[in-house]
Amino acid sequence: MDTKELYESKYANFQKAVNRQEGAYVPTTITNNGGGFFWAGKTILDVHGDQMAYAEAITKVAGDMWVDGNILSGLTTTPRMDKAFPGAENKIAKDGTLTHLQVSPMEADEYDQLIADPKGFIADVLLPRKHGFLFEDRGAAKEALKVYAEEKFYNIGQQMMITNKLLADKYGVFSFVNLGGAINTPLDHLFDYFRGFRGTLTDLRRQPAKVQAALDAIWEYRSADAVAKPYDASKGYPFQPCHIPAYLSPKQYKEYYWPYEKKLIEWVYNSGSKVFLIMEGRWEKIWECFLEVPKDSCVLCVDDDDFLKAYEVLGHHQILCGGLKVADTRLKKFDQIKDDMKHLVDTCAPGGGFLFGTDKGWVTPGDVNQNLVDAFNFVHEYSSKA
Amino acid sequence: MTNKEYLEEIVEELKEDTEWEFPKELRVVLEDLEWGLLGL
Repeated sequence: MDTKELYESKYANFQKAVNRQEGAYVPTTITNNGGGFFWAGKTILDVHGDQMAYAEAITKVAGDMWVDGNILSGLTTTPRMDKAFPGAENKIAKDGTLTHLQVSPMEADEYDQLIADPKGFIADVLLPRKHGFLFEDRGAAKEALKVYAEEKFYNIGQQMMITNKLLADKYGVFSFVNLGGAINTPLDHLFDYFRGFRGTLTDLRRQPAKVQAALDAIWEYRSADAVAKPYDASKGYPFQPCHIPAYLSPKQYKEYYWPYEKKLIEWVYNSGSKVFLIMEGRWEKIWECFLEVPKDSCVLCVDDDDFLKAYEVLGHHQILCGGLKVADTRLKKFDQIKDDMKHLVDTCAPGGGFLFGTDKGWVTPGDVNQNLVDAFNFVHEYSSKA
Repeated sequence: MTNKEYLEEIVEELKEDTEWEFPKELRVVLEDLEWGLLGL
């Protein structure tokens, strides 16, 4: 079988799984946030600026194990961007690992400004705090913004396209997630970019009405126009990395997060696609919400929750992705992992609706290891025979 | 001039910058700049 036929075969098998038909085997998926570089004996610092070298290095692991679908393969920043914007929260560590240090530039008493004019508040108040140099030296600002534009286009956006093409052409791997069209709810935006962990959770208790008004303002600013038009399903499943839900009470989630989430899910579903939703942390207490939205409107990626328990509650109603904990590949012997994988496949493969993958993206050295590679190959082989 | 107006002015200058080798048609990546910089 040549690579084109392999791609078509993997694509067809993947489509069966997400349409609840039992295919030839369980599709395997990858989230490679740079961990793949280390498997190839490289780091982003070695290959940055050479798009093909970057793509070859980060995808090398796909030559060592069976991969059907690519969720993402790439980093969200670059060494040059990192250097140009010292206040950025996405950084490259000295060993080449992608790191994230939350920056929370908004103060608790500034909600009225955010509510009145989100865009103006960001530019006038928050950006001078986060990237102060832009407002102190016009020449330096122009040079930094040139770096921003060039890196964003060539070394993040175009790089991911080149990497995805290599995955398809060399390994027959299908990229099925729309990263450029990533979506999120206003509470995650408030958490990620404005008030941070401590601020958001404190504000929800001390000034809930202000938070609610801010969520509506952020929705209008970031999402209202987009959801007024149909979602373009040809671009793949929109990516939604959810950060704050694991820290909310079920009541808070249902009041401040779910109403917007439901709108996003229905918007995407009505265009014939699914939200690719990363359930970061533990979500067991709020799983039931996903029974309220249309069947198979989401692909839910299970993170710290027990996958089999999630499958029992949600598997009949939403497509689930995951099943292998990266930590287990470091801590368990392969025989133990093999037994776990057998049980996983025996339970979740019948009838389709299950995508195999890891609970977390591959970030640090050792995230891609021999046990992980063997587990992917084993799941492919075992589910092919099952 | 507000900071927002200052940023908008720089973006307009960069869009017309003839010495910058970055293709003009790609300079749309500078749109929605506030949000992009907030998320860096």
